[in-house]
Amino acid sequence: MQDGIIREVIRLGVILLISACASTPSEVPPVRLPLDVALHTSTPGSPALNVSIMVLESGADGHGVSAPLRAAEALYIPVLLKQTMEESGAWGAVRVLPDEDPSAELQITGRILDSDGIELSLHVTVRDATGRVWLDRAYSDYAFGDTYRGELNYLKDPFQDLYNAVVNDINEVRNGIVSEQLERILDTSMLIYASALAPEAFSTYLTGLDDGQPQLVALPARNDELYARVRRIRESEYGFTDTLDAAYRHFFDEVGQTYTYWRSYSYELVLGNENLERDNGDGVQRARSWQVLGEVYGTYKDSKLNEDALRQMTDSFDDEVTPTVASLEGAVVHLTGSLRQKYRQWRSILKQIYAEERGATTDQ
Amino acid sequence: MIHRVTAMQRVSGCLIAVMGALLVGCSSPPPLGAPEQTSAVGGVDFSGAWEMDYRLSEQADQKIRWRYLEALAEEKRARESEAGRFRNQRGPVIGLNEQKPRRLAEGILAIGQLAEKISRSSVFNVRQTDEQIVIERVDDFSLICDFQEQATPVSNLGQERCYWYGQQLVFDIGLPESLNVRHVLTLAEDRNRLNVATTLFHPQAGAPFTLNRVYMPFDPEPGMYDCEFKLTTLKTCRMGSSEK
Repeated sequence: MQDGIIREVIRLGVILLISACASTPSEVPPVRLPLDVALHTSTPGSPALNVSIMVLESGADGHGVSAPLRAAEALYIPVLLKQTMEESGAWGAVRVLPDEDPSAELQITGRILDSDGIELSLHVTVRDATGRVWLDRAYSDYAFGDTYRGELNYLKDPFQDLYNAVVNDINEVRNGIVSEQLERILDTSMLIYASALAPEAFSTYLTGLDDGQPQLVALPARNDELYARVRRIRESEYGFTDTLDAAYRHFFDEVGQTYTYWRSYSYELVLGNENLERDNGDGVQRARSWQVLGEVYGTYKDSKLNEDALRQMTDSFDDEVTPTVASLEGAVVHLTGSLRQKYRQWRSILKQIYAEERGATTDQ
Repeated sequence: MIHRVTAMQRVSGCLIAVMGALLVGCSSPPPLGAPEQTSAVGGVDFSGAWEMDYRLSEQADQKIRWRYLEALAEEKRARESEAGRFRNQRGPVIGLNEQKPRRLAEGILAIGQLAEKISRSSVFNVRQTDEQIVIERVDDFSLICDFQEQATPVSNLGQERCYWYGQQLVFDIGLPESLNVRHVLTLAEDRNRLNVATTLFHPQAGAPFTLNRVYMPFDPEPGMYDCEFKLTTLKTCRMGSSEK
């Protein structure tokens, strides 16, 4: 009997809850709860992992902003993530790269789900060299009402709390990993790199490479000369990838102010559109001064001019073919094309040189 | 007053007739705010540099004045007719539409002046491929249309749509405060003139306001500024060589 009453009370409760949700009027403004997350800083543990952040997938799905603008964001947002990781103090070198780094100690990839000045939503995936997934989830943050008031400064990002949340989550996983596991990540990363350069010499040390779950079977001898050389080459590569990373920072500084202005115009227009939809929903036609129309168009025009500038900068960044000179074991390597092309050329040259040398050694 | 309006209408009618003879395929796209019809495939190449032909383009101030006076006259007629209706009724006369006596006329003036500002660019350059058209307007933002996109993108900045309507290329922009802007590009058969019809519509301003600007092709002369944009140097311009 008592059970029956309890069941009935629960049933009524559920019905009330559902009806409360269902009766939410469509004109109610969307709930936007901004994140409020402070960055947790710490000293790098031993050993400190290096981090590779790949430029984001633009995730352009026709909603929100134009494709060229998303392309700019895809280059811009990783720099903010990198800065936040550096600020947290828990990591080795953090680099933004044009492609996935197959031998990264820690690889961050991501996709822009939404970005319109009011909301920023990203999907972030973090994976270490052993294939273990540290993080695979979406984050959203919303701008406050006064975010874009006053003097705009791109160095103070409106969505910094989102980056703080991502980095805190990564740090939390990192703090739960014992140093032996970290050593294993470093060794696996090094051997993936070595296997790519000289598969015949190093691929036997790893299994599961093709499945993305590399398992360390053994380690080369401490006095393995070939392995020592691979280490030196990798150091050269770090020098080269530092220049790629610097190019993204340069891009960030160039577009930062324009992008921040674009965000503020977008913010204004998105809210304007929402207010309009609500007014139309009520059947109320707002009678405002005609001057407002000029202001609305002015805001729209300014945002589009900013979009044009961002598009030009992004196109220029992609097309920039300034040759890069990199040093590889004393030799000078000339690389041309976009950053992505240069990165691929570098790897291809490395493989080629190594294959030729190995061939010559074998022939002797 | 009414006689003067009619005369202006005649002048404007002649202008439109001249442009009508020049341009082909000038059927009107659907009304602003109506769903677009994207079935027709354009195939018209707008590429090149274009500068305004002031002789054939509509004079904004004249058109605004004409439409303003027309709206005033219409409002006056409406008030008189309403007053007549109330005079024939018993009881106190209330309302008579006196609260906003020149609302429509003011609206015409506002959107007319805005249309003039929006269509002010005197030079533009069109880059067109099978996938995309980019109309780079001097002193204004670029109009960009990606033909490959299946779905019509809805921008947060405004509800932007672009599509082919027969041989015409249409850009629709829906903005806050119920402001709608449309640009319709129509190319003459001999490619000697390109008409850009800019229409503004606001529900409180009555009928849409359209300004027709006619452009003619021109070759950017050698010796003019030669500009390039690079991230490292930003925009750098130099005088082009005469050999160019």
